[in-house]
Amino acid sequence: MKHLWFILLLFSIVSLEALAQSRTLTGTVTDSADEPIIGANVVVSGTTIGTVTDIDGKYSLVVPQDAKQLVISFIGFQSVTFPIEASNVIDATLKAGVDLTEVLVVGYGTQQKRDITGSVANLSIEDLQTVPVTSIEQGLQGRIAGVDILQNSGTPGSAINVRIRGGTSILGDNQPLYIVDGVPITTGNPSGLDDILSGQEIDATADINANEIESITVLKDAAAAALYGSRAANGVVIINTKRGQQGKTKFNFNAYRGFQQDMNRLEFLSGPEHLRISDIALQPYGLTVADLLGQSAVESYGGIFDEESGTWDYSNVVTTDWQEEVLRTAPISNYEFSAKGGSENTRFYTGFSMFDQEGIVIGSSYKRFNGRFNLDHQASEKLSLSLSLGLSRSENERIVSDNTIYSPFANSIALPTFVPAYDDDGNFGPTLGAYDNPLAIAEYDQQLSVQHRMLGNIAATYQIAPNLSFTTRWSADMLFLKEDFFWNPLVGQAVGTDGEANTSTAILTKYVNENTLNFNTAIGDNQKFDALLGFSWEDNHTERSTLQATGFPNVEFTTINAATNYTDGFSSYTDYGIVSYFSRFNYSINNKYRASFSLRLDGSSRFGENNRYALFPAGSLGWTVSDEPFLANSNTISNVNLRLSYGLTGNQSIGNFASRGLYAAGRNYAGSAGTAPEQLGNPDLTWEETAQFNAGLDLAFFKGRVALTADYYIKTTTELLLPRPISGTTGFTQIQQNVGEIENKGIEFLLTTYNITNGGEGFNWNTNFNLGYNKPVVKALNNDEPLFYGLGGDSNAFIVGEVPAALYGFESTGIFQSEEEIAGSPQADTAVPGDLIFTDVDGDGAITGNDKKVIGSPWPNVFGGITNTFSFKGFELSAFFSYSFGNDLYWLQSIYATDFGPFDAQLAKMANYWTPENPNTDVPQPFAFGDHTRQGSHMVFDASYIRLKNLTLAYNFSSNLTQKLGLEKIRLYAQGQNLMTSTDYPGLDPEANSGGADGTNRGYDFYAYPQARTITFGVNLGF
Amino acid sequence: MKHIKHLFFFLLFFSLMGCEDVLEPEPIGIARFDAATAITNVDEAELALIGAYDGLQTQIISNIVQRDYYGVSFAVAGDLIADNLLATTTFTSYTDIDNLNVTSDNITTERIWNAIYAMINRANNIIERAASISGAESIVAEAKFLRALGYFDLVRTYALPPTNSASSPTKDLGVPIVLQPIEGPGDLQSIGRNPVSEVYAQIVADLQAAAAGLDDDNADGRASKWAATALLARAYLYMGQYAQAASTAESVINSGNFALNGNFASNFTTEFSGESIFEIDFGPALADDNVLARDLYDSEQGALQRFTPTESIYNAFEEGDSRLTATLGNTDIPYSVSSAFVNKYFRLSSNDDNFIVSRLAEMYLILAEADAMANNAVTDKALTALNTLRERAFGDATHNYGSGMDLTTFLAAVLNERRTELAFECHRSFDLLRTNQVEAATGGNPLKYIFPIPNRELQINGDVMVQNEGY
Repeated sequence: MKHLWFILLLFSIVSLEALAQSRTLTGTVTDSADEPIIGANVVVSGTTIGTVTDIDGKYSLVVPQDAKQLVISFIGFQSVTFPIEASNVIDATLKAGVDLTEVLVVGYGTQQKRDITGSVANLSIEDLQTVPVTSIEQGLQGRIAGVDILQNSGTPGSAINVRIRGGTSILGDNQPLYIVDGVPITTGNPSGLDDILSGQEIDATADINANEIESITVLKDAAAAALYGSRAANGVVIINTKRGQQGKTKFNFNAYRGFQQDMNRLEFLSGPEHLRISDIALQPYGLTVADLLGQSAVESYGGIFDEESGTWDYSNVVTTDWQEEVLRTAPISNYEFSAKGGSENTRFYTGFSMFDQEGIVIGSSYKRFNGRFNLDHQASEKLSLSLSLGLSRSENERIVSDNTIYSPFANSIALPTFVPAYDDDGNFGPTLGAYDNPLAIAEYDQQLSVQHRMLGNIAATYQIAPNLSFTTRWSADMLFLKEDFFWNPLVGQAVGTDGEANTSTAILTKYVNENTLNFNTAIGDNQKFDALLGFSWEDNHTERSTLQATGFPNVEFTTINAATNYTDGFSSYTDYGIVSYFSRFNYSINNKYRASFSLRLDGSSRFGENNRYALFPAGSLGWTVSDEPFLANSNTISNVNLRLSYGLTGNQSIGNFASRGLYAAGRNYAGSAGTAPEQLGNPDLTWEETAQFNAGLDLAFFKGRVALTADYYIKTTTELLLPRPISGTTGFTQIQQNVGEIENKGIEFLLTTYNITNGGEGFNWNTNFNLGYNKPVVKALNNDEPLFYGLGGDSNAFIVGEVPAALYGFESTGIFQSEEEIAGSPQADTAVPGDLIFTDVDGDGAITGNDKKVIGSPWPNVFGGITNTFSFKGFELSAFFSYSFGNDLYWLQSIYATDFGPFDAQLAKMANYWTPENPNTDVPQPFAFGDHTRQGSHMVFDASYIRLKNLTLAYNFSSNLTQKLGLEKIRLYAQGQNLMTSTDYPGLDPEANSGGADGTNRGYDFYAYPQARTITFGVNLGF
Repeated sequence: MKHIKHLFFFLLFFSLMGCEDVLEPEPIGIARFDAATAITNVDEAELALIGAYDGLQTQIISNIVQRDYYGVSFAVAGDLIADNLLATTTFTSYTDIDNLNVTSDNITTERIWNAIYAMINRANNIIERAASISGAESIVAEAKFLRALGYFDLVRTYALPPTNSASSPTKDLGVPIVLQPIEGPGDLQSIGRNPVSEVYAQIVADLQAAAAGLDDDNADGRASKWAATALLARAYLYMGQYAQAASTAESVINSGNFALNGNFASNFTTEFSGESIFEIDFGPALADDNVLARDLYDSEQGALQRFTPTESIYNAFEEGDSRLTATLGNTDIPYSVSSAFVNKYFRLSSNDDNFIVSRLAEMYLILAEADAMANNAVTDKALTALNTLRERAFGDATHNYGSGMDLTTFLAAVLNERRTELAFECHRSFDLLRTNQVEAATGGNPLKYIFPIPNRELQINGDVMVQNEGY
């Protein structure tokens, strides 16, 4: 409520405004069949003055005397702009069809949609508006065909996995290149401490406030992306922020508040049941739970030992619902204020926002403050200047997450239910084996990452001649990250060292200068030619320092100065640079036949002297078939556009000095500083190279009410940078080489339909459906020897002929039902009825480490989203589902959660174990820590899902009402995220990905922090 | 408007200027510098030498600190293979070593190989590049000592000693000898094993050069003339060249630079005691420490205790031997695997127990054994050498051996004395192997007392690299 005074103040300013001189415009809006269009929007360009047409297609609008242009638009029709001249009557005939005059942002400029010959997809401000997405990637999820986005986890502020047309690299970066307001930005994980935190990483793109964004364009194929050369292999995401417009200053206030909750929980055996079953499962060893945990421990849980019978009575044992203890309903809120406007020569946009999210797991939260100031100034007829400046601060209170047992959440689904949360005195309950009380960890441990970011550029454009302009742009991206971690001396990972603290700073700066010449000309009456020539350089610095200390007095002292030992320290400074020359040529005849060619020469300091520069060419062709005479007058087909492209892009994301033979310091001995060889140089090292073919088709039917875009691509990445193992006698074990190959092939569809269109006040329904099908395959590796990564060292495999990061392990085909089945099988010596049957892959008659194979794919076959938007009167309802089919998830928590032992919480299904009387089950006979704990196909589940990602109900107050209040717009909305999920995956979240954004780990869930269900209520005021 | 044009040209010029060195950044920070120019003067050679010593302690691979050489894995291997230590850990790479069940893909034996060769590569860089730097002669000599130590540890771990009589077609195969630094892809080629005799010849040559180039004394933790000489005595002993072994060991004893500690325990409670000849100086910092105490000391005190002494080593100590309590913990109760622990490494909070590679007591034991072997008789010199240690151990001469022992009995006594004196100092399995006592003492297969050549070496080098018989 503290924001109310601010709104009131603004109201009073607005109402003071005097009425200027005005005139009244009237007219009728019809379609090409002369039918009136009801509900068409009629707006004075650059202002908020507007109305809609009535049932006869007529409108009447009072406009200021100085109004210059009137824009008339309607869904499913191309909008038209009329000059406001002497006449007070402006009639309009709208042409049906997708708005092909729409201008899209592309590399180093803009292009009309119909002129684009590559594969480009865009997301406009409407798609992102007021959706409480915390990051740009979240806003993209399910919206663009072929862009596969995995949330990875529900960790606030953490990295999101983005794969445009599949992954292209194994050890390099697989995330796209991000361009904000024309310049590449720092992406990836800036943290110096994440490797000790494990699991989900933070990400530099999280700093960007989705609400400041005007448009997002995704460049998918080589023709669109090759202009970004050595960094474009994973596609390019171009983001433009909001800018000012000429006209009265418009204010916008947007606020939402809501709450988040966990979507579902795992069910575990109750305390007494767990102990009982573990006792049964330990019998083959001649042991009981009390033997393993200690008699006094079991008694402390409520077990009663009967000395006479020698048996335990577990009926009084507690059942702790750990998930209930650790999960919470967490608030989420966002307040945002912006203003934009400008005069003829100077336009501005400024905004400020505050985002505050608590995690659904205790101890985690994310807060972000963003400010933006964008300015455009026409200094003279020939010279224009612009400034784009974004500032942000984020405070991320983190918890140890996936992949480790020290996370509060992991402990909540790993600590057995029979362990009490609190003891009789109200203190935190006991630890058990490897696990600690998650409440104590969350209470005492602290992991805070604070990040400041300045992202800005200034640009100047000079019109040398009417058809020739020069633009220079200078940008700086500065990221300052300070991290302070404290692990308490009482519970958790730092007990042995009496507490541990790590403090780290990282300063990442990127300076970019780009200079471009733009030329365009018409040749004769029907040919057009334009050209772009450019030169850019980029310099990146990273400075880091960390300090680690141990030995803390208690949990009150958490900073390094309280420590007794400084155990590790580190400081470094590293650089890389890129110098580029680039050009693009577009040529068209009759606005029907188009050809485009681009070329970029990139030099990167990361590569060997022998291979420092590389060329990235791309060419494309386009043909607007519907403009040919035989289709021009068709009533059914309103647009047919064919596109073909081929080109090369690169990936330069390897270590800054990977090509050089290096000595490292810090190889100390006996109190003296020393140096030693650190890395074997390879001066031939070069880029990973991606060649991509794309064939595309844009179709529109029924006056644009149905529009389809389809693309087919083959994307082949060669020269993959991989370590080649070398003899240890060299003093090294590997050398980096360009050896591997990966291919992605796929098809994408985007279907937009305007199912019912009745205009502004009537009932409208439109649908946006997209689908991506991608088939990735590893084509070559070093000597075609498989590579293994992931949990246990080999949960993900790169094997020639298989998908990248294929799920790997033993194959289990069922349960032995009888001794007869076991006899003669490879498990004849070890198995009993009720044990899992494993496949003897190498046929050597025994189940050994050589019997692992590919048992699943972490990649979906098809994925995408469907959005249905309904509007009636002032109401709007939008339902957005995202889906993913064919991807598997390795639920590796099962190694422990199904081991029948007393050290880990056991899934509730374990009570349904195999017995001769209960043969129809997938749970083996109770044998603690048996072969069923092997990583194998019995832990791989189909993680296909359809999820109601977003449901928004909004009400826009009528203009009559808003005008009385002196406001231009009042919008109230309620929305839910992740409201429903349909999946067969038995774990918490089918989108879990404990490997994070990493290219080598994918598709396993190891105690992943699940996403939340979020419900928010908001108000958006414009005045 | 003209000015604006000028401004643009200025900006363009400026931007072109700015890019000149964008492509040529220098690695700074963890102070990395190019290998080719790493050793150009005495100071840089000294830095590299410290780095070579560091290779005895830890290896940092992908930012992970590994302790595969004297940091723990190699240091305990000799006792673990033999009858001194049990692996009480779930790491099968160690339990397999303990149970003589190692396969060629055992990660610990592979990493020991890589770690020792990495140290040798550091030494090779110095020996090659500092050879022409005047004033760096002693640095080169120390590097040769380190290289010799590396090859000695390799050849005794991965190959049968010359004195072993086991019948094996691969008996004469040593380890690959690499004497040049590896600088780039051009230096990579398939490599095979040199004969054992060539490896020992290289060790002797390096040690002789080191002894000649070094002073009587050096800083704590650094190799002196006598460190090289003491290792040479041991090398001769392993080679079966007993006369040289005896005379070399005697020269160390008679050098006057060392004296037995009055109290045996002082070897471990006092760093760089008067008895110490070459001692690896571990420190508490992360990359300078070891996990000897963590893995060997008392679990009751918070150690992981991945290795526990055997009952057999308890029983090897005679009544009244002062070395028992200095060597083993919990000696006042009957042996139990759950309470026994090694007492030689105990600095649990700082993880900086030094590792003694050679000390004077070993020279007495070499003298005793080698002089007897060389003369094929229990000489007075040999008997005196052995009794010198027994007097220290028992506090008086009451436990001394008398004259008149036959050679076999004497050699058995020396072997047991080596066991009790040098337990957990990386001697036991090698002593059993070179004296052909493996089967008699432990019932083990001598061919399994040496490690297999790592599987990855066989894959990378193809047929050129030959696996040990038995693997």
